[in-house]
Amino acid sequence: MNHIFTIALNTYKESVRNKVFYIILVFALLLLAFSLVLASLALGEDDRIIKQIGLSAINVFGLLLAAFVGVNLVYEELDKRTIYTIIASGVSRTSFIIGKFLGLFLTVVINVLIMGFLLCLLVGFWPESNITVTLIFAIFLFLFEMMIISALAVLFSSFSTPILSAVLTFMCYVIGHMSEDLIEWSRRLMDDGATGVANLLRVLYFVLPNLEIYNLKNQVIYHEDIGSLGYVTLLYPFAAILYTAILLLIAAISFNRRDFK
Amino acid sequence: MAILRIENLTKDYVTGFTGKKFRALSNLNLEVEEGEIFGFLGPNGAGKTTTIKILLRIIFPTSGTAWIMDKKIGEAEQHKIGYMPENPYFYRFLTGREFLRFYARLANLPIEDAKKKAERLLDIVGLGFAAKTRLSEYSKGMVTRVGLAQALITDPTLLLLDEPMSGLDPIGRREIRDLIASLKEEKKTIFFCSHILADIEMLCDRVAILNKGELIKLGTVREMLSSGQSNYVLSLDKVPPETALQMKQSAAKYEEIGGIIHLTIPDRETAQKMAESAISAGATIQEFRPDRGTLEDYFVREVGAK
Repeated sequence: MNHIFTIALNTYKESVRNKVFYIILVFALLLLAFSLVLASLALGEDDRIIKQIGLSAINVFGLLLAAFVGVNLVYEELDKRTIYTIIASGVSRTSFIIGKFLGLFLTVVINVLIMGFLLCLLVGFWPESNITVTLIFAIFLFLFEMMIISALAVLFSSFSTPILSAVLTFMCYVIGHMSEDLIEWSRRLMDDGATGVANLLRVLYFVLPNLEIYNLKNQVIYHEDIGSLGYVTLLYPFAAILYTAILLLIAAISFNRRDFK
Repeated sequence: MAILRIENLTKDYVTGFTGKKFRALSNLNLEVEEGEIFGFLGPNGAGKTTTIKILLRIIFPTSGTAWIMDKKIGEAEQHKIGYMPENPYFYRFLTGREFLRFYARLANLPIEDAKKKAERLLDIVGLGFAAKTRLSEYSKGMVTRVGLAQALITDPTLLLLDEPMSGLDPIGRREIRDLIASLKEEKKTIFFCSHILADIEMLCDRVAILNKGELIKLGTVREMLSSGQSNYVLSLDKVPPETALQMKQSAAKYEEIGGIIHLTIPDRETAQKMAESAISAGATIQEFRPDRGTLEDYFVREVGAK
């Protein structure tokens, strides 16, 4: 455990000393400030605009941070050979992967929490708006979506270049948010006789996570019901943890067999 | 007692899409005794770094194995092994102090001990002044020093140093050489690769020469230097011109620098006779010694012959 913790802390330090962290944070804060300008222009829609722009900013910048910092993490260790002395210190490859992931996730969590806290402040102080439980749940569930994205970035980074890893991570993000559509398209294509593509979509549906379940933006903005509290607080987070564990296991297995040249 | 035992170690790399195999290391057998400084020599691509990487499980052998302190690699107690890689590139975002504390924590040292150890080692390698400076601002020589400090953080019994002198200026080299010599006094075993043969010659008890993945020579530096043909060097001052002319014809090599004649003579008997006749002609002897060449001469001869 000490190895995982030490590597995670070091990875966190590495990430927050990276300029990308601050650039993303500054942009997100600017966007939050911009939402106030728009809100003051749109009469009666203040609450909806602040929450929509605010949650979108947290989503986009959280994703950018997880993907851009994540895809470089393991790749750079191999490319710059910093991993040599880590392995030589007796750190197992599995601990290394888990430590890297936890460090990245910690960075993302802190970034999302800072943005989320500021959004709550804005909403709390704005006369026409108020903090709702749904808003808190939206930020809470988004953290679990970022957990999956961070694990995907670490997995891809463990065997491919940063650019390819970033492309693959974004693809998974986009497909993950279209999960329901995938199965619908698959059904239609099957009816049209295109079984090959239909089966491919079906495989993607089953392999990639349904990230839309972690998206409560509409429920926040339109004050809709979030559904079962058990799903939001337990089942969905548990599914994210399980999926993350599987991704890290795959990364660790591929890593354990590799020669670091 | 052998602290490191390598048996039939072989490593094949698969290259390109065709899956073509390239043998980087072929049936290496080697034993390193406790407390010795062992030099591992070879031209680029000889398999030196491959060997060290296998010992540390950074890569896996195709066949064969090794034992470190009587434990098979992979089962060895890693904190008893210190490692410094070639051209080290460490975490640039960390300061020297943070960097060493990080490795101390990886070695499970308690936080307070890790702090003390980091400070002490920074002073030992002469980087106390740069403890708060980030590694991104370190010069190449400073990175090498902090790399050596990192290798020493666990107070290891066996040190694997891959080109520890690279990037150092003459003063830095001297300091690191002295540090390595002092580690030997602390009964540490040092296994090191270097291209700087003068350092190997000065420090190592035994040397192995590797070429194209195969071990071609193993022995003490003295054995290697005395195995070649020995010439004799005779340096004379105040030699009369006619005697100098005679000597020029008999010597294998003749040089005159600053009024002093330097002769290289292939055998001891001729060298002795020439010295006697020079003295009787009124010359004075500045130097008379066997010239066994350097490890570099031996290395070039052996590797070149293959």
